[in-house]
Amino acid sequence: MTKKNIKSIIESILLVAEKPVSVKELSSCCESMVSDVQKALAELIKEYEGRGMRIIKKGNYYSLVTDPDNAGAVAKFLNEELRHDLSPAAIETLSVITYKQPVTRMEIEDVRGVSADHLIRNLMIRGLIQEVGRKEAPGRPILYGTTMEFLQYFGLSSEDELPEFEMPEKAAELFREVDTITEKEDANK
Amino acid sequence: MLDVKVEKFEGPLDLLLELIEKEKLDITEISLSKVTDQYLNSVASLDPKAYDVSEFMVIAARLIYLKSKALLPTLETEEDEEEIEDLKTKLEIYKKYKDAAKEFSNILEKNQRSYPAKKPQLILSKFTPPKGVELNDLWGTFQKLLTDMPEELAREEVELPSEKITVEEKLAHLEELFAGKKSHRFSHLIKNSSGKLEAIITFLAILELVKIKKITVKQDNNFNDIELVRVG
Repeated sequence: MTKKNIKSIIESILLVAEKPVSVKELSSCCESMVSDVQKALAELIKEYEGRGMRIIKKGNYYSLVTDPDNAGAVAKFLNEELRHDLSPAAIETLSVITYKQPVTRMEIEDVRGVSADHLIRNLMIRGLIQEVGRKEAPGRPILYGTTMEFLQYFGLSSEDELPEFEMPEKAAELFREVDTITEKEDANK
Repeated sequence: MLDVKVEKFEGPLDLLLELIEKEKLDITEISLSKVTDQYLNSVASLDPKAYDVSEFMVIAARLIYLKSKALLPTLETEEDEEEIEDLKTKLEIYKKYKDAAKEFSNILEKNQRSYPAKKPQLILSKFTPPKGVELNDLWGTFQKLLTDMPEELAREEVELPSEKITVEEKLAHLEELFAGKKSHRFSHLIKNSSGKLEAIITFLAILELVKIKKITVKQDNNFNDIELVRVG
């Protein structure tokens, strides 16, 4: 398949897709190699610059969405409220999940020192976070991560655009310790 | 009246961080012990409707410990050191995420959102009445349906016990009884109760009387009536 065709097919699929599409799905629909699809996607993303729509990326998944600069006009057309209505507690919880994902409820609560039960539920209902798996730990607790809708909600094109986040040295050390302990435990299994 | 929750801070760590920052202090052992009193005062005035106060207690205990350690430095043990480090680290980590949350708010304030493409809506199957069915037929069927519906079963009225008897009241009452007559039958006392609740309270009061050795209990054979006899 020619390069032009791949790009064209990707564009069409992203337009009709109900949810984010993985590179794998695209490559099977285009009957092309994953690497060719990735190249085509990268080119498409560039070509969309300055247009009313853009392709956003989360991990290996892609979505076609509107340019966040047009949010005001689009919201007006859709008759939707543009102002965000997340509580400070919800935003705080979201920041923990964003930079610590995949993360369990317990780990979120440990950072904030308060129960996160209903906040997690609300963020899930809003589609900003989702279950991404289970932790290999006692009780196999649910792991949470952010969604493509999260990127849309913040008007970002990929996670690279998130504000930088650096752990304090001490804390990073502490986490490293925990990681090595869990790694060791995993190795023992 | 509508009860509005006004949350000034998000939790114990948030409160602690706020206090330290208000005093323009860094997160250190000393600054932690400095804000102990303010922390405790804030916790004491918490609205229990808005906060789970128990969540604030763990940190309250640590702060009090920190302060007492500052007064009596000889108390120090290795384990305690770790705990202080732990609280400090926790606070530092929390501050990082809180700062990140502030940046998140800034992004959200810009109201720059992307919208996904509108997907073709699923076409809902429409209701098409069979030929020859008129509006009146539908209306008639609907009304028939309404009249044929079983009436809601009348709920049985349940009388709630209006008077509450406390064990203390019952105790006084029983003591009076035993003052008048030396022995009473257990079955008789229970039967005199107005309901299940009073029977239970009577039983509890009898147990109490046995415990404080005001009465003794006698039973000749299994399943015979129990006799309660005043002591002395």
